[in-house]
Amino acid sequence: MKETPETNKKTKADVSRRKFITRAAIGAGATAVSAFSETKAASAIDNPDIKPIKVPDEFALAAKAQFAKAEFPMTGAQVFARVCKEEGLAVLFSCPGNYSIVNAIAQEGIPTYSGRHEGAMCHAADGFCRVTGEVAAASGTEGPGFTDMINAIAAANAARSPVLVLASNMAIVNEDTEAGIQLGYQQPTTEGLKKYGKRLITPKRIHEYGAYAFRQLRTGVPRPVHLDFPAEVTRAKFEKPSDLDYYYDKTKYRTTAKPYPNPKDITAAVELLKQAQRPMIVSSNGVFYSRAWDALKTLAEKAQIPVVESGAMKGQFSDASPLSANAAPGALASADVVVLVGQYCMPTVGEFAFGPDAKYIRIDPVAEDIGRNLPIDVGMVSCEKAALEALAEAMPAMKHDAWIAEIAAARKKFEDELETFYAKGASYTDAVHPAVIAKELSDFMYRGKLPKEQTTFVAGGYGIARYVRRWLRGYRPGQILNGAYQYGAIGPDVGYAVGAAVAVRHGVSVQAAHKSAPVICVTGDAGIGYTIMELETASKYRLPIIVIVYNNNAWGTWTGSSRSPVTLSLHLFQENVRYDKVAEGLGAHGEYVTKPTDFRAALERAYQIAIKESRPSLINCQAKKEFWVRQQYEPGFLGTVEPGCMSYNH
Amino acid sequence: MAKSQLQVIRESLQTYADRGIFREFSESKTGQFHFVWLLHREMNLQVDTATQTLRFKQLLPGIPTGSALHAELKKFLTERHDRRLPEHRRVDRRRAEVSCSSRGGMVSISLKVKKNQYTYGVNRLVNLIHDLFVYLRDKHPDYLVENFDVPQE
Repeated sequence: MKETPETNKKTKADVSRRKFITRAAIGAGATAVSAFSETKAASAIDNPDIKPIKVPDEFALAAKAQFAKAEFPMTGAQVFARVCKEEGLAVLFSCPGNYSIVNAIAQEGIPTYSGRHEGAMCHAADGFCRVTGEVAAASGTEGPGFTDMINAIAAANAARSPVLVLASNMAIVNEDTEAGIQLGYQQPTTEGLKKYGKRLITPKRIHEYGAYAFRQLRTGVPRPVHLDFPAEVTRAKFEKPSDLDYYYDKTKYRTTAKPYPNPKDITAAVELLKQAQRPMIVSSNGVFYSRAWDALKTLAEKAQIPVVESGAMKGQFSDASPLSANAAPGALASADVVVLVGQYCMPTVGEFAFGPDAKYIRIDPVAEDIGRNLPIDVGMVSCEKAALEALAEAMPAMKHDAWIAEIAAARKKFEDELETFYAKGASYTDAVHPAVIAKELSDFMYRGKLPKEQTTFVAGGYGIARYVRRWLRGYRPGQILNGAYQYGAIGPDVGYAVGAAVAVRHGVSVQAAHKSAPVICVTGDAGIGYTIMELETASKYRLPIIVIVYNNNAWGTWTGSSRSPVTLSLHLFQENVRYDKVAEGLGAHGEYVTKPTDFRAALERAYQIAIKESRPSLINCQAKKEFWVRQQYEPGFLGTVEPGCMSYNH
Repeated sequence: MAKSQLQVIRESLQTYADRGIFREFSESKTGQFHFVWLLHREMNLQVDTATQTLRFKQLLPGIPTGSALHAELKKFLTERHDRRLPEHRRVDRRRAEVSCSSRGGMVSISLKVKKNQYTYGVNRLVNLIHDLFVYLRDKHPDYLVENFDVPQE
């Protein structure tokens, strides 16, 4: 970044990249210092002239470093960082740039991680939100650092993630001059991709806007908030709290109050549910963000209402329950009353598999979304947790034995079909079929030595996702991160995995019981190309991530051009690309699996490395594009039925 | 005075329009209903009370007679009568029978009701078409991409 005369007013020591790196390395604080060891690649062992990949000593020093929390007099950046701390910002992901803000946040003791691309770091923040329910921030420098984040902001917006996007933005005094480089209007660029945004131009209001940003992030339906900081604001000096406008004391601007359901709506919903023969609850984002899983369980069990999940994360309702309908897609069309709870991204008619006669009760924290896309019979504006608690209280104990038996039968039929997919996939021995990956991964996570609720999973990819998700099960909140979700971006997966692994490392929120456990991520060969460099980030911070790459030598879209010699090649990569070698070059462990029988052993090895060395791995599963052709390789490319384990769009 | 058979059908369909399931519901000629429904496509339902038949005309394009998908479709429809299906998902042969026909690769789905049980017939046929599209989403996403402009991603 080129600095303008304004930005040069700050001392070099305060804004230097070296200082930034030291601050960012504070994120490594939760990692044992001993973990920062050399990675001995085979080439290094064979050739003493080749030095091993090594985490710089500064990381170990940073892990021991003391935070130097600011006291008044404070800069604008320090005031903002204090707001972040007070409001519970859980983590910051960044790339160099926006130094004043990043350094101040790190000094507040908020875990701070730096990666290779601002977009991937913003995906990491999104991933962190989706497995913890907490607010995470992403930061980039003005201009290109900020615009690198756009795709990730859009993905987080579609997923309704409370990502705080922070970007420096030169100096007010230089606006419209094109002095220096990297000038750009940021706020119009995120129009339609955020819940709230503001270019801060009045230094003494920085605290007020910071607090307002968190109110936006923590209330109603969460979505990204984008703040951009000119130098005059971050470097302003404040001698005492009263130098700031409005209120410094959070009791004057914050409440934990939530919208409670109207009793009339509860009565109407109860009446509808009492008449229902085959009721069902759809649990989505709002159940996770309002921490309503216990209330959901109480209601479901008391009234014997099956639950199916949808949304950007899964696991709020355990698949171990006989009331779970996640793996019973064939039963969905039988539901006669459907309770949609916190389904922020609402499908249109026909996108969910519920039949045309189903009646809908929709619970949403904001009134404007009620009735959007799907007709309702009862609309309830409420915090999801409050509504579920009220419904659980008001509903009588009920029985729906025949309905639950129907769901059990549908689940068995679905799982029997999965077995046939696996048998077929395993019979193709010259490459690794997606059904083999999905089934054996599922066995490893849920039916082996690991506690089935332990592994946090990033379900990414495109074609491979349609297989893996069918076998995925959630047993606790925050266990499954539902990939690119509604925005459908290709390639965020390693970024998501970094965010999830940081959440697990720190044991944040619902990840507390699984602290430091390995995280597994599935992606495709198209997707890995976007964020594979973040394996270097994962290796640098010793994040135990296992990335499984389904490598079929093609974009998932190739079948659309399969009969077009002119355009087919546009969808193809080189065959047999060695992503595992790239991973090794970045400090991760690499596995190349070319036969279905070798997958499980490679997974076991990668897991052991994750456990023993806290180091990432990439398992490159060599497939072939023709696996998507049903006539050649049954069952071919699969579709999706939503909601449930296959949920992809909503 | 008893409602005409067509009025029973009209009112049954109107219920879906009133609930927001069907959009742009209209009747161009007597017994020829049009509405936008699944995949945001216009669908045409023809009623022939003389033969007690409800027919979704030219519902599925690109399925030649004798093709694998045509055979699969026929199997799917036959299974709608399977007594192992729950009653609320089944088409009871004693009350109605479902079939399909193909002309020029265009498949129409018909339901012939018995003893003028049109309320039952409309309900079963609408639910069956819904089930059919769920099935296609699950098993034949490529078909929907090619023939219904469903986004490939």
